[in-house]
Amino acid sequence: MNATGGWRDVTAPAAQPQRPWPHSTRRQLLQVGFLGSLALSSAGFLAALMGRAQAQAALAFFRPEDEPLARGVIRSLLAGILPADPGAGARAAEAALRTSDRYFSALSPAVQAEARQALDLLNLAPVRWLGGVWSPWEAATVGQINGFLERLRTSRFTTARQLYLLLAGVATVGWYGQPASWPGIGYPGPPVVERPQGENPL
Amino acid sequence: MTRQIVDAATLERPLKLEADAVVVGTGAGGAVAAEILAQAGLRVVMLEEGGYQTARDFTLRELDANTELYYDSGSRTTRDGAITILQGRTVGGSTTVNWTSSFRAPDETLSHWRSAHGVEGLGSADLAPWWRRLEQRLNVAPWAVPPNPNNAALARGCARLGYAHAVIPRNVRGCRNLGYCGMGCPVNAKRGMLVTTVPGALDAGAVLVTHARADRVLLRGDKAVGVEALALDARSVHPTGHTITVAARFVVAAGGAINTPGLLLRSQLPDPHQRLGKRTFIHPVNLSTAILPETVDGFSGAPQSVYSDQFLWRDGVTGRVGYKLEAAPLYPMLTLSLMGRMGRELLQRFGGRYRNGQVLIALLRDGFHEQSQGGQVLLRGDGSAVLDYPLTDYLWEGLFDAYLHMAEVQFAAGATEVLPFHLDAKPYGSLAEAKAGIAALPAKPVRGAIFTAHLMGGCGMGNDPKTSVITGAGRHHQLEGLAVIDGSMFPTSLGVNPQMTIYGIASRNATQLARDLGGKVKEAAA
Repeated sequence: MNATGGWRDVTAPAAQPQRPWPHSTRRQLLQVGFLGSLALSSAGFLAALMGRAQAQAALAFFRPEDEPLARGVIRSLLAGILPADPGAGARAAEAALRTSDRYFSALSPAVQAEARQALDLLNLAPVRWLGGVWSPWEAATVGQINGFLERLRTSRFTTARQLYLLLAGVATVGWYGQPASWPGIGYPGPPVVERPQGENPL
Repeated sequence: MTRQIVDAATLERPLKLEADAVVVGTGAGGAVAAEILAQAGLRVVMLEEGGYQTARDFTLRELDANTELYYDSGSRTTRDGAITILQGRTVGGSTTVNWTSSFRAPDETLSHWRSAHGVEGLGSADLAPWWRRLEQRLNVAPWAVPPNPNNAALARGCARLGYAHAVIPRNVRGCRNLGYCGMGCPVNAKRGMLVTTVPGALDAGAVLVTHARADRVLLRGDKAVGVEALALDARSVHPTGHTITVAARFVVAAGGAINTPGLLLRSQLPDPHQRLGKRTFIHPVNLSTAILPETVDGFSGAPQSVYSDQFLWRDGVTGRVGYKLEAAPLYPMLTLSLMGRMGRELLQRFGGRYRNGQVLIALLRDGFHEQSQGGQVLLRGDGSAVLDYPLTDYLWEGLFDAYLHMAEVQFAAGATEVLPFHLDAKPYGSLAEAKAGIAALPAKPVRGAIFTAHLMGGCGMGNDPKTSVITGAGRHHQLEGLAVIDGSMFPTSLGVNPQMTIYGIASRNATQLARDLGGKVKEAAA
């Protein structure tokens, strides 16, 4: 059935309008995501400052420059929750980072970009100082980082609370998204069930 | 006939297809429409952004489910990050991962659509035959097994307070009562689109293209003549660079109430009255956690089997916002990442009592009042759709009333502590304490933890093109060759979990469409 005639015109590129963005003024296009213009304006500056590493990242979402903060938040927010033994605790923290990376790397490109802008902002030293953390993230103590997180969480600024949710997510998704966390909360894990074979039934 | 499924992630060159109808989305609207059109003898192509995952693939691990079956790992949000949107992105759409609650649209809602939005022919009596057939097919029946302790607490609390409550009808057959509905049913007991209309459409000759993100509707003059989609990688994240072009006599948009308006906005369809993407509704949901003396194991057993409509119409249809009370499963990553939002102290404290945790949710009925105009779908710089949804004072009043009544029900059920999910809340040891505490909570975005799993509106139907995007039959007011057949049709939210309403209206509208396209509609489906 082909009521409207041939299809060739339809798929020919010339017959179609160009993609409407980013030049369109007809529709309102969002230039900034949920983390706001503050994050956006700092991002380029920071990237220039840090000379955005060309090195091969071991992780899919977190860049090498994000790792100290991500590791810091994991060891701080989850202090007393991760295994007490230093070796086991370090392995658990590393696994949490990898798990979190898998979660964040499955976000849509625009949302990943927004989250990276937020991490850029958090990597700015003055932002750290505002939260009472004077040393770089890798050298900051658990107490300092938790103090920083609490300031974000209880801030009257929406952007600060958004940053808190992002960082808390890095730690909690990373830890509770993996089976190693389950014994600590008494979760037995999903049941083992026999799967149906063959094609999907009608 | 061999089922024709193309995984666009594996394409090495552009794909061009022809069809009578191209259906964007395989959820509650799209899959129902695709099956009806295909069974009428029409050539159908289904485009799905997610992958084709079935019972064998569902590991029941949250990390796998969130990253593979949901948009944005289960953490899609509104524009300001204040509301988390749980939306499926897999074959079957959200029906593959929903919690199986199967309600017909309330009479109050359908009457309001007629009186306030000029929607004719969609009364309860009009939809009843469609619902009856679907309820039979999807095996919808009130859950006959005793509720799990999480839901039993809702029933017990309501009973002690004299509040209305009832058993939820579920679309399951041979349900093993595992409780993992949110991660895909591993035994094909859930009668979602994945095991009903999608295979039905495939067996009637429809072609399914997975990992294909519809980019724009192709136009010729004032007529839609197909869809161009972008092939995505196997995780549905990044485009591979190949395109899928489906030339078709008719386009059915069914990507849900964010993606459908997004597709139409990107395509720059006529919108003379600036209605497209407006009035998008979500049933804003807030949560309350309780600690019960007994083991609850809220991750186990049917996630939703009891509801209360005590407050759904508390002030009439168009008065103060009403809400439905239900329970929510305590999957560990979801529950404890929510706890983490409330700070490390509460995370540690509740993590230690995870098995005693009980969670109630309140679904607010948005869109029935002038101070509840819903959200607006907008395009980001890269063309992706995002929902801007302001929480008005009117909605906050409802959220606070719901925090209060959830706490009341939980204490009546025997809770020793109740913690509303709000950044500034504390665990309360008595109802009096909770009342004082809740009254003092600030009504600000990104302080309350607000969710939605229900996307509605944005392409609302109505008789007047000045106030709606599509007709009551689902056809675009200005453009020929395009119908919207998903939750974005609704002129308001529903007040109930939406799947049955989408199925019902989709069946009716797709059957008419099949006739209009010259298909042979069987009497049984008429």
